[in-house]
Amino acid sequence: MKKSYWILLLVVIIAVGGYFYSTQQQEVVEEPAQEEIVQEEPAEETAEVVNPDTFTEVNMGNIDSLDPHFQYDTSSAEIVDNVYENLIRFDKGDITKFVPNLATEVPSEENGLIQNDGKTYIFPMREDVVFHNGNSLTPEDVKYSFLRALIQDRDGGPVWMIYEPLFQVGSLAEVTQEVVGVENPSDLSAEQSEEVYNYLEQAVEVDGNNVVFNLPQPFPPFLSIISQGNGLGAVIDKEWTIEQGGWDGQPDSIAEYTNPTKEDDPLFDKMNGTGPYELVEWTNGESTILKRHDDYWREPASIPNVVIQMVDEWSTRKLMLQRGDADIVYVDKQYMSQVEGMDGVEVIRGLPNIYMGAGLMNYNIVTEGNPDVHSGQLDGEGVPSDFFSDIHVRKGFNYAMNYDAFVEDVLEGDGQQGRGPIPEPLLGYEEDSLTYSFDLEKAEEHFRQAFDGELWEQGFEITILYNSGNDVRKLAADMLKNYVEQINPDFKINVRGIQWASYLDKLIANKFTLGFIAWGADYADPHNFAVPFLRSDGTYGGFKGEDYISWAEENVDPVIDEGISTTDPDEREKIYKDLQSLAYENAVDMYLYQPTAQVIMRDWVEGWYYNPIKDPGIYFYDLDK
Amino acid sequence: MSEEKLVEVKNLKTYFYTEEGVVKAVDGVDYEIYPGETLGIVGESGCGKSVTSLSIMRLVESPPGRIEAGEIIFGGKDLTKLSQKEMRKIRGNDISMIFQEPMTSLNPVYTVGDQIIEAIILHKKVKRKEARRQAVEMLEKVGIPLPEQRVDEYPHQLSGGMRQRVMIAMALSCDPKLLIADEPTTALDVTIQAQILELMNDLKASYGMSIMMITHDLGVIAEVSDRVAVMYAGKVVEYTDVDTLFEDPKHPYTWGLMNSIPKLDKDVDRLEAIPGSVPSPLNFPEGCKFNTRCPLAEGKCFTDEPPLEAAAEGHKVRCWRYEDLEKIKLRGERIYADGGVDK
Amino acid sequence: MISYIARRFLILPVILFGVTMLIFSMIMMLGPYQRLSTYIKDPAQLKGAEDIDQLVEKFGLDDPWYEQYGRWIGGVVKGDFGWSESAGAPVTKAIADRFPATIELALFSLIPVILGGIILGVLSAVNHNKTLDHIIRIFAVVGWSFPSFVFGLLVLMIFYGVLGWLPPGRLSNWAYEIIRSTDFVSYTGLYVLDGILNLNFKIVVDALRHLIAPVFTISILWWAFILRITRSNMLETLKKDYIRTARAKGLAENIIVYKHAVRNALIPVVTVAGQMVLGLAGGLVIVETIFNIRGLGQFMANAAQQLDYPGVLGGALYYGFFLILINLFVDVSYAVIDPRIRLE
Repeated sequence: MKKSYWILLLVVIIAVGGYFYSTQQQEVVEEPAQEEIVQEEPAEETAEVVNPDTFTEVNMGNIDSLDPHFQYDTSSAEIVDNVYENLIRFDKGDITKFVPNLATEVPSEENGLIQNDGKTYIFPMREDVVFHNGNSLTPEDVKYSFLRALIQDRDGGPVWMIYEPLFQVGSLAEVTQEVVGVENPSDLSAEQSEEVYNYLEQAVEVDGNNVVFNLPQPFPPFLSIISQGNGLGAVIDKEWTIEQGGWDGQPDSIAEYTNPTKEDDPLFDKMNGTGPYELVEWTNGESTILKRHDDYWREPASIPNVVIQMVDEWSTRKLMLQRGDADIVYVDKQYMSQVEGMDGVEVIRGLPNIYMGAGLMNYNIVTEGNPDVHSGQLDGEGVPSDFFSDIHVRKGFNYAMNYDAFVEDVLEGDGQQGRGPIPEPLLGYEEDSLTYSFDLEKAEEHFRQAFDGELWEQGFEITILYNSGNDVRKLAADMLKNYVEQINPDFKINVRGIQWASYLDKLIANKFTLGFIAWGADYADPHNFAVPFLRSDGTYGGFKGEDYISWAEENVDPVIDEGISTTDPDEREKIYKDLQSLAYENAVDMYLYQPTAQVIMRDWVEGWYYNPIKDPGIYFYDLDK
Repeated sequence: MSEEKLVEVKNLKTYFYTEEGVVKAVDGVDYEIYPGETLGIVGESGCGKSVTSLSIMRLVESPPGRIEAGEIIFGGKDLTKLSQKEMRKIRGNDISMIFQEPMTSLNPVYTVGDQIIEAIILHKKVKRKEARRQAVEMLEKVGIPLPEQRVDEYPHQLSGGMRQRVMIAMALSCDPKLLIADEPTTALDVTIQAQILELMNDLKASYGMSIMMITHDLGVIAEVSDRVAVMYAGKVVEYTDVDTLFEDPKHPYTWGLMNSIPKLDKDVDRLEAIPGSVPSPLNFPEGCKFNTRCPLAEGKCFTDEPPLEAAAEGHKVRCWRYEDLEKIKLRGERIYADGGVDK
Repeated sequence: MISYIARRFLILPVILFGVTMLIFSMIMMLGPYQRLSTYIKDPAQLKGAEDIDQLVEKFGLDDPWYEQYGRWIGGVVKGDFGWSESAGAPVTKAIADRFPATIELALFSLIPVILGGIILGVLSAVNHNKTLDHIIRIFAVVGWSFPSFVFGLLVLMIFYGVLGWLPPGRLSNWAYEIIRSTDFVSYTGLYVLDGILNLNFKIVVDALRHLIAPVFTISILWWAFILRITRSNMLETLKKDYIRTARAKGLAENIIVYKHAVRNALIPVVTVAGQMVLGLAGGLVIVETIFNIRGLGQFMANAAQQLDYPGVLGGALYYGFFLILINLFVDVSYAVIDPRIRLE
């Protein structure tokens, strides 16, 4: 009796062991089987189209808000892009060419709709366009939409993007400060509000069937900013929005409607646009369901239903793709190999992505209570606060990075080295502009000169952080550590991963030493990259410390101002090329990589094209299956 | 006593097959019980007395136990050959059993009434209302006051003595012909003990049933038994009526038992005690099983097992030297050393 | 009995206060910038230092802890549990939306787990050391050893990936359309139940179909748990004296097992089952994630990860309430099962 029990136990151990072994092997085992199948049925459609009436995209994460003027993340932007519409749109994937959308013509110098040396834009409006609730589109709606956005201007939102061209400031607060001396728009009295409103109203006018924009000075990227793909320029229905509790359209109510919290925003979870699809249901964190708008002003879309599902578990997404229950899925970088060669699946890689990943160097690290600077002195046991203020240190680091290896191994070839803050293909980017390359000798040269030779003698110890879960950033930090430490045995770099919350904290508190960050294009103009990376008050520039800020105020800001106010494209190009060189010569930061994008979908999907500004959002109108 | 035997146990052998070896708990036991009498089975713990009763009830856990050989004739049938289904008709019905620990022998989550009613419904096939009436009647017969109230109480609400009465009520509820009582009073106070024994005797008379009283307590044997079987190491070593046993024990073991307890009517300077202890059932000696402790053991006792023989009319003994023991007794000598207990 | 139950519920606010206070103080140990990360997911959303301070002020992250806690408590008393940033909805709605999915999963898992576990445990004990016992015990060991994510993924891969029988989610797309339509009334949010109440059996079948895989995954683990406890208690109980008495009465073996033994063996099982129910009510994040069920497990895990303290606190309240409720239920069950136990 005892013996049989031992035998059974042995069987169990083998069985369980076998299970675990097979789950490890499972990916390897799957691939060959599928490749076999692909060879048997080469060119034809391998499977029958699943759910021909519904297009399913499977993504992950959360949608922030459905309010086009509130949202500032790609998931929300995708929904907004399909439900709301702007005055003009890109000609499919070409970000340099515009076509009319809700306007009947794209303003230009040639057709006379851009006047006053680029300070006036006239948009003639299309008639017989209806919103999803049946209301007709009028020029009033357009004016209302823009003014509402300007008034709402929520903290951390996208509205700053039109404040710049329309008022040459960064926010409503700056306007209220200037006009009535009130710092916080929520504090405006009714009278003050009226004054501010009158000021704002100058920028957007209705003239008969036209909507006219008045800019204080020429702003070349203006059309790009309000083009379809940027929810900021979306047109909402005045009547309906007022019904929902949005801005009442009156001049005296700014304080009431400005800077709402997400929950107080009536358009948070409701949509009413002119777009080819309308919102059926939104279950946050689960799915968004759209259905075709049959009274759309163009041909109604081919596919009647669209479902965007949020599934956080990769394996589940993968299976859905395999079974055809998903037409398009989001694939994390590390799982790409699992979808290559999958039966019935098309993988397109190498799509140009207007995105720059960089290592931000903090010129004035706050050393108090900061373990990452260790001793905080130039004594070989830490780094002083102004470690990165020394150009030789910055250049040393820039030469110590193996860019090729990074692109090949970490990005798996999906990308290229950055050449400066401006990415390809924007103005100012040159394929062969001067940039740093991997050269440990040069790195050593610069390190030896740093701090008048003292750094080389003493050595240093520094900690570089990354936010856990971000493998690309981790590997970049690891590579730096590996190479820099080779140069001098007294150079010590520690790499540590921390939670997002702590990472953000370090950034805000200026305690980071070298932090990897990134910026994706809001609109297709180099100004959108120069500002955050280089300007003294830019999103990233502003975190680089006093020494950088004062240098930038003198050397960078004027150039950026010039770049944005010059209308001649050739002149602009020169200015941005200069900026790019400036960044290079001063080794402002480490412009590490510009990744490419990819899309993974079932091979029965037709009509897909790539638009780098809209990526990764899908525009369903043009698709079919 | 009528001639017709109620139960006849012939050469019963019940062995236990354990990992350490074979335990011959009951190794060739013979006895009979006649209608209306009480047979006492006496012996130390481990001698096999409980196992023989469990064998009759076929309640021996098998595995690891097994009725290896023998017959148990009851009502014209051999109980060792019956199926479990047939045995279930007999248990609680024709033959009932009560156990030593009244505290734990009743199911704590059901009322005492439920447990009695369960037996009644099972065997007598009456409706619940009638069964309940009978249960209350039984409780009254066993001397429990306020039986209509008690019947709905839980075992933990009753004292030890009460619980044993309930056990008896439950056992007798279906008019069994034989009641097996395995150490029924051992766990009770002396005064309660007496009450229970008296109750059992009264019920025996009024029901006309037989009782098999298993105990290690000679006092209890003296009180209730008609005839007695003394067991040692799985065998019956002496078998006679109760008076003879006390007056004229012929087996050295019985003799030792008798003389190791103080008696009011005898005056001795020191008590006798049997040295040593019962040998391990895995390690029984060759020959007579008592030879490890018997002061008279010699020669043949160590090689051959003595048979159970009639030493006199209605008196059987299993010993090679019982005649020698007689002679020693007549000489008024002791055979055991001092027990070390002064009077 | 009533006063006993009432008294148990009276202690609820005290416990909830203590728990939420504890959680709150842990969250407050992080600086305001760290807590800002709940709202800012990408540094690109920051426009500069002013912006940050404005944001900190807007969300009141800089106020002293008692003020922030006080605000939350003040809201709670009025029935406003705050806004959950991680869920993008008011906390009450966030929890209420996910509650039906979690409860449906819990209910459907409970039955096979408890019944199945107990029956298998009893069978195992009764057939002690025989083949059936060994088979059941191996089954238990396997179930116990498999981490739920491995097993869940395996189930998904085989029954969805290969066979296509059991897809993830709670319903198929066509079923969702019916649920959304005006003909269908969602009484409870539990699709199986609603399907029955609306007499739409296609919905019932579809919902059940989607429940099989996650319920199976949950059951495999928990079965083992209940099974082992039941088995060992049954083995103990079957050795007891009153079982011997029952046999001596001539009762049939399965009456002895199921009537006399099981009830006595049940008390520790009830304890374990109670813990299990509590775990199920709180949601199982792994199973929910793999099978794409929008439940409370995911909600609470995300809220904790994103430092969404109204969400975490709301979840704690919910959980605390269930804790009291279920413990109460367990205690009352003890008294029902075993008359020796009296409620104080």
